[in-house]
Amino acid sequence: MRPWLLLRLALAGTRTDRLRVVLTAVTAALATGMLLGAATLLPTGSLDHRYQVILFDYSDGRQATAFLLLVVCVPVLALAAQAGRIGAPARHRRLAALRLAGATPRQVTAVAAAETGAAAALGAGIGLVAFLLGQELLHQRDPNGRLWLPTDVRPSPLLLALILIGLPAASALIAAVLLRNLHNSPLGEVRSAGHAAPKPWPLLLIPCGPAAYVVLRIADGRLPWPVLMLLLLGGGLAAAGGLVLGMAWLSDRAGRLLHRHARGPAALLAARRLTADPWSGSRTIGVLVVCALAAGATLGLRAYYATQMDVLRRYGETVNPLTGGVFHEGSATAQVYLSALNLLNLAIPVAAAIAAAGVLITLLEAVSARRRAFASLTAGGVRRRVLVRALLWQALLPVSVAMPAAVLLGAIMLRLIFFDIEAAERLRPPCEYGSACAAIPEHGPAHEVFWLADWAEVAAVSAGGLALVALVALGAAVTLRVRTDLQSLRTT
Amino acid sequence: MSPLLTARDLTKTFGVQPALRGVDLDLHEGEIVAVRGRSGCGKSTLLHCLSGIIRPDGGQVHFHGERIDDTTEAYRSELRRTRFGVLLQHGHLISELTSAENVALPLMLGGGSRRAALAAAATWLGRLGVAEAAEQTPGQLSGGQLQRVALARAMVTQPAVLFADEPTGALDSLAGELVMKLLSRVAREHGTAVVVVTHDATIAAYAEREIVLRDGEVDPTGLGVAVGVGA
Repeated sequence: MRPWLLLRLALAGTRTDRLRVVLTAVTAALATGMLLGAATLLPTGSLDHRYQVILFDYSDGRQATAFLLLVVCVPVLALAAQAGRIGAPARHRRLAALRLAGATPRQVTAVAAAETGAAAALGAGIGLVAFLLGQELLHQRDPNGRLWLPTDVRPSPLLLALILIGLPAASALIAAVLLRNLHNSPLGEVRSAGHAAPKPWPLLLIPCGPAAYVVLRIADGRLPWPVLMLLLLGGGLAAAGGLVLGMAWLSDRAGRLLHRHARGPAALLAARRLTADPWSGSRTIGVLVVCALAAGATLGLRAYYATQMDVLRRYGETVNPLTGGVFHEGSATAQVYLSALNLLNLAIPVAAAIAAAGVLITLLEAVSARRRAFASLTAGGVRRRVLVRALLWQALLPVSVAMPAAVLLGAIMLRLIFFDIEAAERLRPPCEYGSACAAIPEHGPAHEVFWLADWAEVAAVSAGGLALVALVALGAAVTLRVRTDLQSLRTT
Repeated sequence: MSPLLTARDLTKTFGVQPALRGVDLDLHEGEIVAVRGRSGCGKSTLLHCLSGIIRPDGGQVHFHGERIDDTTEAYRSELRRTRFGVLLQHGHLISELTSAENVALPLMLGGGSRRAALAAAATWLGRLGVAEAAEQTPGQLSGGQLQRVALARAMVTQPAVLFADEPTGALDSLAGELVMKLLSRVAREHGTAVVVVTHDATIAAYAEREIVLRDGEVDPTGLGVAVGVGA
């Protein structure tokens, strides 16, 4: 197929198709910005007093921030995947018509991949421009001559090229892979490879996370570096993967439970919907739950930092385990802690908002796909508020248990690795932090028992997550008035 | 003269429901054959198996002596783009492309130049009396115009066989008659063989031969439609 035909077919579409292209481009722009930000932070070495946000003066701080940006990319990717599903039935009909006109399965896949790739390339370009503009705008110095952020560093050309070429290429490849299991019949019957009933096995991955961290704790630093990293990353990924992959089963079970006890029509509708298609949006809701896991870990880290700062404060001047500097109120060390906490406090809501956008798209698509059924119900006398309540049940029920559990799990896992305060013990001379070590009292705080996390914060974050889902469901419900218009019964 | 297209002992089952149960069919060059029968007797399934849209569960389909039912999806797609034309009840045009682009599509998918493909499309749209619809999208066309554009798309590659599944099913009788007249005329002009599936006796009258299906089998008595829908 010639390139111009490929592009013409890829960009032919309705308003919904254009929305899909726009959202794909927006997510690509977001991902590009984050990846470029991470690439900017990668250079190692200490940059004394160069930045106002002191965390960026230290190689560890910059790398941790780069890692955090990569983690925030996960909900962006989930949003991109969900954006790719917008208008999927209409797109499949178009692709089927193409098949009828003689297009081979490979040509049809190329059309779909080209659409995604072109949108992602556009988004990557916009992301690059926005990133460079942002760097220019934020390139300001404080009265001490320090920059606020590392706006004086550019990503290496190699990384820049890798991001700008790799992101669209990867998007196109993923689109092609996602179409692999779809058999686009020329008759317009799209038969997926088939969704089996969800199984609970993925949930077994969740305890693997804490288990890996228990091993880390027991080993207490005696493990070789690769094993340590494997347990650290593997544990986190196992818990997050278990939550994402296990959401479908949780939705199914929640639906069955609700069906057993449902009294009203709204609950019954939601229960049947959850059991009929537990896979619907389970991945995006799973990503939101993973954000809750990360938020829980942040709460754990906050408690750890708070305890550590408290210990250091009580013992007066002592060594900062991160920088080697002397700790006192308002010192560089305290600023490092505060910077880290502020960064985490900012990253989690951003990630949650991105994940919630994915959930919103899922719900909008669900409403759109069932508009005729909803219109039929409305025509039959069912009030719209019943449908709104059904949508709320459907969105909230699976996460009502998963969300608080994920927050708690995150806090527990974090505290399994950041479990005690042994600053004085560990940094007694000879230590790597130099002469400041000599100032440590011999009988410093070898071991501190402290709280897991602030329970009020755990409850608040869980409630906030649920409120976010409710808000998103209500946002999707706004479209019900249009979607349940009786005209929907006359259109396909 | 050996048949252009042959089907032997075709079987196809959907779930537990047999749609075809050992159907045989021969189609010769330039011949128009109508396949009739009640709703659900397997007419459309037979057409889909013959045109390579779906694979039969059993039996064989040969085109020009070459077996095609066991070939790859890509090969059968290419066959539909070059040697077969397919016309379905609702046209199945791409709603975002103009009529001219829709008609030119099979040629362009085969690697033809845009200019040549659009020129061929314009010729076919003119021959079928819908030249004025060239720049309109399918949503702007009447049912009769839409089917004539779909017929133009099916014929633009000058196929050896045209498969038509209830081509007038969504049209009123006048529009349906016009489409069938055009279909039979262009098929005869180009020596294209036609398999037309219909439950309408007036449409079947355009055919030189008629096959009647009953419960997935060829009814040798031809009585399968006597009490059928629209017989």
